Amino acid sequence: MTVIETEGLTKRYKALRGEGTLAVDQVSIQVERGQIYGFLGPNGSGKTTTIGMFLGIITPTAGSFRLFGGSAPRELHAARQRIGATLEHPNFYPYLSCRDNLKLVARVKGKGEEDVDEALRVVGLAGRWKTKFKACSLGMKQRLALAGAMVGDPELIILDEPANGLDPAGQREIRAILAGLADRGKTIFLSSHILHEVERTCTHVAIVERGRLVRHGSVGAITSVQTVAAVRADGVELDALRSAVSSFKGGDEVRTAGDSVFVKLSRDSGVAELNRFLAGQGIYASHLALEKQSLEDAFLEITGGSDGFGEVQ
Amino acid sequence: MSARTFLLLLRNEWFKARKRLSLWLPLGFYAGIAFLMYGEDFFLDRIALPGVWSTVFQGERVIALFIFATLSFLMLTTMEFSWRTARQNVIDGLSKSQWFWGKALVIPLLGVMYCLVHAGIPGVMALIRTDVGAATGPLLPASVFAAAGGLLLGFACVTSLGFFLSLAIRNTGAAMGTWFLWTMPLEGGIIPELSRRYLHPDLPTYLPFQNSVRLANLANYDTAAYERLAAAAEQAGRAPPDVPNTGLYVVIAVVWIVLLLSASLVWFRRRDL
Repeated sequence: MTVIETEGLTKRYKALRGEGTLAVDQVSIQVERGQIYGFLGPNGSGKTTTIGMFLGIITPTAGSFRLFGGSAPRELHAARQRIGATLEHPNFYPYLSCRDNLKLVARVKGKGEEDVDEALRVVGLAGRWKTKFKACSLGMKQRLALAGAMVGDPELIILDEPANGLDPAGQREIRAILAGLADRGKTIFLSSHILHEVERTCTHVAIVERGRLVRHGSVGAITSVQTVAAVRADGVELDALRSAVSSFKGGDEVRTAGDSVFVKLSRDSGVAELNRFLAGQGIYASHLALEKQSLEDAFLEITGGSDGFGEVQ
Repeated sequence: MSARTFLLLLRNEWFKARKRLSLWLPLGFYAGIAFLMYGEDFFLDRIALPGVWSTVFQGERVIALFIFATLSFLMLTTMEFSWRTARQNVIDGLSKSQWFWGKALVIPLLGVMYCLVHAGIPGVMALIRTDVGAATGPLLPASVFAAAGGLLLGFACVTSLGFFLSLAIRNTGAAMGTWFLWTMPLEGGIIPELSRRYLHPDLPTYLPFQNSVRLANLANYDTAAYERLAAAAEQAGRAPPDVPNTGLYVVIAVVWIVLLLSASLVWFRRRDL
């Protein structure tokens, strides 16, 4: 079943003068039940605006979306009762305790206090329930936001930068919580900067840049676009091998590591062509293979190492 | 929306408001002002039931109530935008309309609280000084309840203006400043003066704040109270006050409330959070 489906979703912020800002441009994605869907993009690429549109806080300029198959206002309102979400920073009443804040969330969702206690327990805040939100550390606030999204056991959980501000141990805990939710069959829509977290957690990703969807698919499919080749040649000096690879016109960004030379191949050249070129130079490769790309490599390649992406981790 | 939904929204708003200083601090200040206003009469034994009600429900006496209660309401509303909790409430599952009506329900809630303080403090002080056995008429006549109703309606009218401003501006200081600007210099001086010179002298009587202040007068609901005012004016050599047209005042207030709440709802639903 398709949980989220957008069709040409567009948002243009009006300006007093000029055309305004096109924050989201014709984004069409599909999120199926049970997927852990990573939504990636540099700062200002339109991730939060896109999420805001299907959460009902931002009105699209054009396009449409369906939640749990429904698109009419009444259906969307009902669908949102099945969603737990947090957008950007944790937003709670600063003068209320963690528990009182979650009680409000539970009331809105028509759930009881037992759901509140369960959510606090899962995120590790059961012993800190009396702490006022304004006295919480950033890590506690993030956990509370996650607990808020989990209140009432929603079918779809949408999280915007859930590990922001957490130390490595906190990030690992969040990852474990998300894995637990995924094991229970929840659909998770996750926007994050932390690419290795997304790679380890998500089954599918979509990459947006300047409001446009530039790539989407399974994590395996995205990272299988391999363009970096590793070359070794027995009996050939590393410097000579590097020099020969550097003169190959179908590649650039040549570097050495260990006993291998790495080269980034251009889109229209492959390892066979490189092998033929080296043989022509009198160098016979003992190892020539494409390196598996990380999601971070894929992301930077797709977005061209886009400006504004300040925290690639 | 069903009555059950409204009840849930009211419960949620009370849950949020009851722990906020923005609710209790202005109310406490207003209670202090009420004590000061009637304190001298109390200590000089010049206050008694039912005569005190003419003073309690008198136009000028309710202005402080309108100011403090609107300040409180504006803070309860606009901070939801500063904290981004209005946005989170909608993300959590409230529709924008539900969020709006939840806040709108705070208006009568605050109105009742302020009305109780406004009438309760002088009422109790007067009761202490009243020889109940010697009283000839009812200590709490029906006209007092009618005047309290008028006060609540007037309060709803001026707070609806505050509500509209808080949703449009989303900043406490700026919304309060604009509310003051409208109610005091504009409605209180500039518009009446311009109307008198260039339009129609009666025009200011249809404005929300002036009409609301007038709605709280006991003389609107108690013929004897009006006659006492008229006699006092005659004794002082002044013209008697206008004969009250309570029905018209109520209609004006209701029209303003409907207009302001409708505009607020449309505005709020159209804007992104």
